[in-house]
Amino acid sequence: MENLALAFSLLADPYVLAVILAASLFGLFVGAIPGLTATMATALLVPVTFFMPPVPAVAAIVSCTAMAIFSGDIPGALLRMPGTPASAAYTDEAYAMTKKGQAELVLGAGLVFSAVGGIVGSLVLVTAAPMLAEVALKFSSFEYFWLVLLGLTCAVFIASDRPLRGFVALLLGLLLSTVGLNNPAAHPRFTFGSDALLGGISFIPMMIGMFAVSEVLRFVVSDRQRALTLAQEKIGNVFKGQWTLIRRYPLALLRGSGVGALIGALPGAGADIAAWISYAISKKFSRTPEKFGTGHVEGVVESGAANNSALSGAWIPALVFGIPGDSITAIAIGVLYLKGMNPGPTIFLNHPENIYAVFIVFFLANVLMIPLGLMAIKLYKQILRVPRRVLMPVILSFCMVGAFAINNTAFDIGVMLTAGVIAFFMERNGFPIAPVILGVVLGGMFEENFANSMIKAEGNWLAFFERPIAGTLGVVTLLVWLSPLALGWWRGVRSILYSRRL
Amino acid sequence: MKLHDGLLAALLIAFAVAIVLYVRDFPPMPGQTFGPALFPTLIAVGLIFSGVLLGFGSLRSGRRLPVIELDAWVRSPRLLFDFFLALGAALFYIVFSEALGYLIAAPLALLAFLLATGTRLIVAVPVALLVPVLIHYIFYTLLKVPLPWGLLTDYAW
Repeated sequence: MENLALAFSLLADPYVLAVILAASLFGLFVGAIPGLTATMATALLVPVTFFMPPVPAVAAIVSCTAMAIFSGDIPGALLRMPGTPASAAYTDEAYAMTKKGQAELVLGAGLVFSAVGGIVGSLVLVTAAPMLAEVALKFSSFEYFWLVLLGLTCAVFIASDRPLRGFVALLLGLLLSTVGLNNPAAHPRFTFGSDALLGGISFIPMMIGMFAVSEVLRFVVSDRQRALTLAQEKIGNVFKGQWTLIRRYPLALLRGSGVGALIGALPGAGADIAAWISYAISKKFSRTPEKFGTGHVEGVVESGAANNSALSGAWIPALVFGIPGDSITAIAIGVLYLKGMNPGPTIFLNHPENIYAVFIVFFLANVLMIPLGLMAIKLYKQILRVPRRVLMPVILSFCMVGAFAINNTAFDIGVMLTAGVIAFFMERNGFPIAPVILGVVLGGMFEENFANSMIKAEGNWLAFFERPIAGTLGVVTLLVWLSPLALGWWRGVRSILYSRRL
Repeated sequence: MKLHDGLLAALLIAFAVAIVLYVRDFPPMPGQTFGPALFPTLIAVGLIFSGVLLGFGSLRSGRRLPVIELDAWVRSPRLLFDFFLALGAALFYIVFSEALGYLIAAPLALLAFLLATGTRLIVAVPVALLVPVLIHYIFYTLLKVPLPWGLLTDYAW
C-alpha cells in the first residue's frame, strides 16, 4: 500500500504532470494529421524523453500514444483519411456516418469509447502484469528461449497479412541485431572494421529512420498539392447520445476492450490489428450486420474501444518479460534497456513504485483524453491549417538532431538516413516494417537465451523440454509452426473423404 | 520502385549466401560446438527458404509483371529531383555539421528540405532560420546535448 502512496507522490511532481500534458497534446496533434502515425510520434518523442528520469519518460510515451490512437479517428471521420493505421478499420464507416450528418455521434463515440476501452485495458494490465510476474520469476533461459520464439512466431503469422514478407522482415531485424560484439563469444560480427559498429547498430536512430524518415520521404514524392477538405466543418455537441449508445451496446464495448487487450498482449500485434479483428467480430455478432458499411455506429464502438485497449495490453508482455506487444512498446523497451531499467519480473520487486506510477498514468491518460480530445475535435479545422509541406521538413530536421543526441555522433544520423531509405523501399515492395523492429529488439535476447540454454544442456537437445513451463511453451510453439501445414493436410484429407462419399 | 517478386527472391538468396560466406570463418565458442556464426547462418537459411518460396510464388502466379516497376515519382523530373535534394541535404548535414556548426548547417539543410516539399521561398526562408534556433534551444540549452559549434565556436554560449 505504501508503494501506491509513493507512486502517487512520484506523479504529484509538477514536472511530471507538465510532461504528461505536453506529451498528450503532442500525441493529439500528431495522430490527427494524416501521414503522421502514433509510432512516429513515439519515435519523435524518444530523443527528448531519453534525458528524463524513467517515470516521466514512460509516462510521456503512454500518454502520447493513448491520445494519438484516439485522434487518428478525427481525420478518418472528417476526411476519410485515417490519422493512424489503428483507425483504418472503421474509417469508411465513420466517414459514411459523417456524410449522413452524424459527425458528432461518430466523433463522440470514438472519444468516449476510446477512453472507456483504454481504462478497461489498463485494468487488465494492472491485474494481469503482477500475476504474470510471479510466474515469470520462475523463468530460466529455457523458458525465455521458447517464449521469445513463440512471440516471434506470433508476430509473423498473426500480425501480418503477408506472412512470408513479414518473416523476411523479421529475419532482417534479427540479422541487424547480430551486428557488433554483443554475442556470447564476444567476436565482432559485421562491423567491417568500423569502431562505431562495435556496439551494434544504434537502436533509436534506426527506429527514428524507419518510422519517421521513411514517412517524410514518402511525403516528398507524393501528390503534395492534394488539398484536405473537411466533410463537415462545424462540429456540434459530441456527447449527445453517447449514454444511449453505452446502454445499447454494453456487450460490444466490453468485448471490444477485452479482445483489444488480448491482441495487444500478443507480441507484434498492436492497435491496428486489434481494431480490424474487433470490427470483424462486431459485424459477426451484431443483430444487424447488414447495416455495417452504411454508416452504423456499432462497429465504431467496438473497434474504437479495442485499439485503445490494445495499447495497454501491449505493455503486459513488455513489462513482465521484456517482449514487446507492439511496435510502440518495442521502442519503449529499447529505451528502458538503455536507461538500465531492464524490463522483467524484477521491476516489480526492485522499484514497484515506478511501475505503479506508470499504471496510474495509464488511467490518467485515458481520463485526460476526454477533455483534450474534445478540444482537438473542436479545433480540428485549425490543426489542419498547419501545412504538411512545412511540417515534414521540420520533422526531418528534428529527427536529425534526435538521432545525433543519443550517442553524440554524426554516424548515427547516417544510420537513421540509411534505415529510412531502406524502410521506404521495403514498404513499397510490400515488406512490413514492424517485424524488423521486433527482430532487432528480441534478437539479442533470443540468441543469448539459446546460447545459455545450450551451455547448460551440454549438447542435450531434450533439456529444452525438461522443465514443465519450458516444455509447454515449446510444444505450443511447435504446434503454431506446424498448424499451417496441419491445416493444409487436414483440408486435403477432408476433400478426399468427401469425394469418396460422392 | 517495385521489384518483381522473382528479382526480390534472387536478391534475398544472393544476400543470404553472402552472409554464409562471411561468417564461415568465425571461431567457435570455447568449449562449445557452435559459435557466433550459428545465428547468422540460421538467419541466412531462413532467407534462402523465403527466397525460394517467393520465387515459386512468382512463377506460379504467371502474371507478366515488369522486372522493375517505376513509380510515378521516378518518372517526374521534379519529384525525382526533390527526393535526391532531400537526401543530399541530409548527407550534407551529416558531413559538414561538425565543421560548419549546427546553427549554420541546419538552416541550410532545412531550407533544402522545404524546397524539396515545394514550399515557397517566402515561407521557407523564415522557417529555415527560426526552427533550428528553436531546436537548438531544446536540445542544447534544455537537454544539454553537445551540438557542434563549428565556425561559431568563438561566439558559443
